[in-house]
Amino acid sequence: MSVPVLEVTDLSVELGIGGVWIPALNKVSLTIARGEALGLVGESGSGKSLTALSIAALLPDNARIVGGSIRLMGDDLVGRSEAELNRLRARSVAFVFQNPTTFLNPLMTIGRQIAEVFELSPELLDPADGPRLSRRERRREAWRRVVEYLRLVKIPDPERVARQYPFELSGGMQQRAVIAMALIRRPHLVIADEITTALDVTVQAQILALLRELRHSIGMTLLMITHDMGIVAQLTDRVAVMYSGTVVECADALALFRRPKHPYSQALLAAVPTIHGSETVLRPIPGTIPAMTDPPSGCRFHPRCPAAMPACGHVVPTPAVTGPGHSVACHLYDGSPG
Amino acid sequence: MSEAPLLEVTGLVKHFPVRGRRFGGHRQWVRAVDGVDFAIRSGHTFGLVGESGCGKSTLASLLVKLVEPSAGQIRFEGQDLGGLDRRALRDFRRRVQLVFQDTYGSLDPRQGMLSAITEPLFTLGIAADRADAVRRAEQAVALVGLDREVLKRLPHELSGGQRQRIAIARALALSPRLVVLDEPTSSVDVSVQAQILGLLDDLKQRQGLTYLLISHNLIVVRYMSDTVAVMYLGKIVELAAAAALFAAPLHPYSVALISAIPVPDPEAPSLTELARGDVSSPVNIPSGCRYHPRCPYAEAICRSEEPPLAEHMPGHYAACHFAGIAADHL
Repeated sequence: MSVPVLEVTDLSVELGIGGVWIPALNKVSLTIARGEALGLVGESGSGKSLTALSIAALLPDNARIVGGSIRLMGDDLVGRSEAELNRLRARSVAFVFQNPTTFLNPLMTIGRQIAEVFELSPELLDPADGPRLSRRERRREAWRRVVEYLRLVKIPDPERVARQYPFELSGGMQQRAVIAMALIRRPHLVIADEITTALDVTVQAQILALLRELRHSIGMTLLMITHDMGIVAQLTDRVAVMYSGTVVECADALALFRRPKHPYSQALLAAVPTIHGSETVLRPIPGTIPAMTDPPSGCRFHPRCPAAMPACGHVVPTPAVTGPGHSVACHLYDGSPG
Repeated sequence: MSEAPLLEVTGLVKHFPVRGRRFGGHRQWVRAVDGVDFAIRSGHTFGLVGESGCGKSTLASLLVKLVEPSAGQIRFEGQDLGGLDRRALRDFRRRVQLVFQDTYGSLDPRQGMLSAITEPLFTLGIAADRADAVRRAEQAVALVGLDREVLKRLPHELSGGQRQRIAIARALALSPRLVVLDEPTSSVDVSVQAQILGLLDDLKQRQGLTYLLISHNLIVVRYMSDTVAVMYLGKIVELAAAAALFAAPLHPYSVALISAIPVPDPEAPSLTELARGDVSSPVNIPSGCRYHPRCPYAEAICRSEEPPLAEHMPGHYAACHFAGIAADHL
């Protein structure tokens, strides 16, 4: 077995809110193998974005890692200095955010800002063997790669688009440019955080189809963060379902959609309306997502769970393996007294 | 079936001037709504879908008289909205309510929920006195499944789902006949979305409401609506009973929209790219069929002649020279 691209083990993160540290992630564990796409799903406040930010070492100042490890290609990121982190993540993780307009510099052409990557990581331009390139050759090589990657993300007429400013592109084209910028470093892992939420449905379909294609063409390893179960089903191999800062279930996509085990996963899937429309009955999940500042004791889902037992109110369930690659954190499956 | 529709829209047009002139050129116009006809029957839910820039939100603003049309007519309960006197207008403002998508934007952050709900009761002269207003507000929050305690709260103290319920309660407190729902669930989570959709369904039955549901989310529209209209760049391109439109869409754009939905089933691959590129600008609307630059089936006639919204099957209208051509793709 080769080293997984990403291995998160028992990651716990706290957030500082009003001078107090509040647990926001509780022993989150995830693994992504090379070439795999893992979907991280959950509703708002489930901790999916915080998990992603931890992996990319982009946590805000009011967040701190209090336990666990994050291994990228075998290197542990936790406890490293800022300089070491910069070096590690520059080579290994690329983050694509929801809103491309906030990510792109409006005063710089698309091509120039993508080529900036080579100023930060000049070694990317060095040929594997042979002599070092002259400055002029480097500049030409950088531009050639920019155009190549714009073409890879299916931007029509890439030579022209590389000379355009972000405002001249539509939302879909901007998002493609951001994906090209992420891929040009050939990262080991691409993290996509709700990247199609701001797009129209036909444009979303184009971007999702592009990601699906990139998985095949360049073997992209993907951590896809989304609240949309449809996107998870269409794009990922495995799924981790998060609720209130914990991973409640992790399974192959097909297993999760066919036989979800955790009551929250079951409820989440039953709450998704499908195109078959009014023939299907929507079953809403009663109650609301718990506030991070006041989480329920025991299993975080127990106040809303139809299968809650007395133990659920005071014992935190630990993930139990219920099948190959399938783990569930629920007392229904761990054989503890109910 | 001869019953007069609750709302009837004919030849509705709204063009907005583009700020500033082109150098040496003519004034330009955003053709947000560009000739729309439809009718909503009492007790029905009429769903309007389309992508950004299709004019659906402008249409909503026209229907509740937040903006005045450039041309065309809107009739509500048989009365032309253009000719309402002050009293009739006030009555109209009560009977047609708009629920916005952005509950942060539509609730004053410093106004308590009681005052948010009772304010329109006073301005529209519905509440007899303060006690009556409070009683109505309490009834309204009970109707949307909230505890009366929420009336003491400020918007930031409520969850997104609770704020959406307050927005609905505020509309219902006025006993409207038509409720315009503009993206009612786009800012809430899936589990809460199911609660809100269930609530809206239930309220419609109990209060005898009529809905105009505006959304970019086809699944929500499919789930809620009796009749669905698909809008593209200011025009309705297809209109039919919801079941018929989703089972056998006639317009290639409707087919593209439906096949663009990520289906929550790993063994049912979707996301076929049937629409090319992006939505064109509503300032420079393409000639002929306005969808032709994105349509994989476009022929010469599509570039030159605008297809009318024609009835291809009973009650099923589409504006396409080759209606039904994309049917195999679903």
